[in-house]
Amino acid sequence: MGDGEYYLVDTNVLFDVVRLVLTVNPLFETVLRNPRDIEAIQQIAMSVINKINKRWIASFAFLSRECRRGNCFITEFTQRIELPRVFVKLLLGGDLPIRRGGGSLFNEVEGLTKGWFSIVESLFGIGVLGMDYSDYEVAREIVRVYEVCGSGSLVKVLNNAMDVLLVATALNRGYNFVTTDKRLVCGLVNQVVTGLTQVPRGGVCLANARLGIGGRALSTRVYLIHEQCGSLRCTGRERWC
Amino acid sequence: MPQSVIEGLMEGVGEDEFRRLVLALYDVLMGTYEGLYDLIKGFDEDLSRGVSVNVDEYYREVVGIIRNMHVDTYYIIIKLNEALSQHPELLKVLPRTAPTQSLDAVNKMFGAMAGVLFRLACGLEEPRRGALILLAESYLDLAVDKPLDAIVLTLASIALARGRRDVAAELLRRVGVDLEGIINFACGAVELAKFLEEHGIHSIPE
Repeated sequence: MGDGEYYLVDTNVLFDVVRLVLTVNPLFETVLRNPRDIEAIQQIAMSVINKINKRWIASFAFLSRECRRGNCFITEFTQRIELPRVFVKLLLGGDLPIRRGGGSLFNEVEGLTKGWFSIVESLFGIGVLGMDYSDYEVAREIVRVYEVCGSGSLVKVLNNAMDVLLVATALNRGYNFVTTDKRLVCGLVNQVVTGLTQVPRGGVCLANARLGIGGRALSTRVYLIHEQCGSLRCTGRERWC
Repeated sequence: MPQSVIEGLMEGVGEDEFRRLVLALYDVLMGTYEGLYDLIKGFDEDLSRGVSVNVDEYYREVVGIIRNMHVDTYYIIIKLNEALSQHPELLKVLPRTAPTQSLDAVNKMFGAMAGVLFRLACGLEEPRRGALILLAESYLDLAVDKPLDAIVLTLASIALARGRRDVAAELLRRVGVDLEGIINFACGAVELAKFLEEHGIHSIPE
C-alpha cells in the first residue's frame, strides 16, 4: 500500500466506520456525565462491547490510513442506488423515524442520502466515480465467464449484478477494491478472484482479481475486511462456479 | 496479572514442559510490557525536560522490543502446540477464560475506547484534539494486532501533547501516517455519526 494507489470502496465499509462511532455513544455519554461512576461505566462498557463487531474496527483502521489524499472513491451506482437502499432499510426497520407531514418518503430518503454523501465527500475526501461503457464491458465479460459454468452459475452472478459491476469497475480502472462482502469475494473465487491470503494482522484478507478481455489482462487487489480474516475459507458451495 | 496468579492457575496442569512454556510466555509478555512502559516513560521525561529527542533511537528501540516479542512468542507457541498435540488432555484441565476476558473482548474494548476518544477529541481544539486522536488510533492498532504502529502512535501522541509537533511528525513518518489525514478522517466519522443521530438514527443494521 503505497502512494499513488486508488481504492474503490464498497458502501458497507463506510457504514462500518460510522457503526463504531454510533455504537459507543452511550459509553461516551456516561463517561461525560458520570466520570466517577465506575460501576455504571463498566456496565455500559460491557453492553457496548457486546454490540461491537471487530470488522467495524478493522474497517475504521484500514480507511483512516488509506483514504487520506482523495484516493478513495465510491461509484455513482453506490451513491444513487445503494445509499438510498440503506436509508429505506433503516426506515422500514424502524431505525429511522418517519416524520409525518415532512414531504414524500422519497424526498426524505433523497435528502438523507444527499446530506450523508456531502459529509462523506467534504470530510473524508471520498469522490464519486462516474461509470462508462468500458466498465460495463468488463462486467459483461465477468458474466460471460460464468455463462460457461452453466445456468446455475449465471443466475448466481446476475443476482449479484450490482456488486459485480463494482468489481468490474475496480478491474477496469486498476483501483484496489475494498469490501466486507465475503459472499461476493468467495463467489468469484477461482474464476476472477485468486490467491485469497490471510494477512496476519489488521482483520483484512488480501486477494487478486484478474480478467482477460480483448487481449488486455486486467488485474487489481481485493481487500476483504471480515471478522473471520485469519481463518477465512471459501467453501465449494460459496463459489459461483 | 502477577506471576503468582499465573502459577496458581497452572497448578494441577500436568506435564512440567507445558507448565514451563506457559510461564515462559508470561515472562516474555511481562518483559515486553515492562520494556515498553520504561521506553514511554523515558520518552515523556525527555520531552518534559526539553532535552533533544533522538527519534531514530526511540523508533529502533520500539522495533526491537516488538520484534523480540514476536520471535519469542512465536517460538514458545510452536512448542506449546507441539506439547498440546502430544497431550491433548491438557486442554481439558487448562483454566477456562470468561467470555469477557477473551482476546476478542479485549480487542473490542480497545475499539470502544478508541470510539469514545474520537468523540471526545473532535470536540476539542488543537493540540489536544490531535493528541487524543493519535491515542485513539493507537488503540485501534492494538485491536487489529499492529503493536509497532500502536506504540509509535502513542509516542507521537505524547509528543503532540507536549507541544512537540516536529517530533510527532517525525515518528508518524516512520509508520506512514499522515497526521492531518487521520484527524480529518476521525472527525469526519464523528460528524457523520452526529448527522445520523440528529435524524434519529442510532444504529445501522448489518
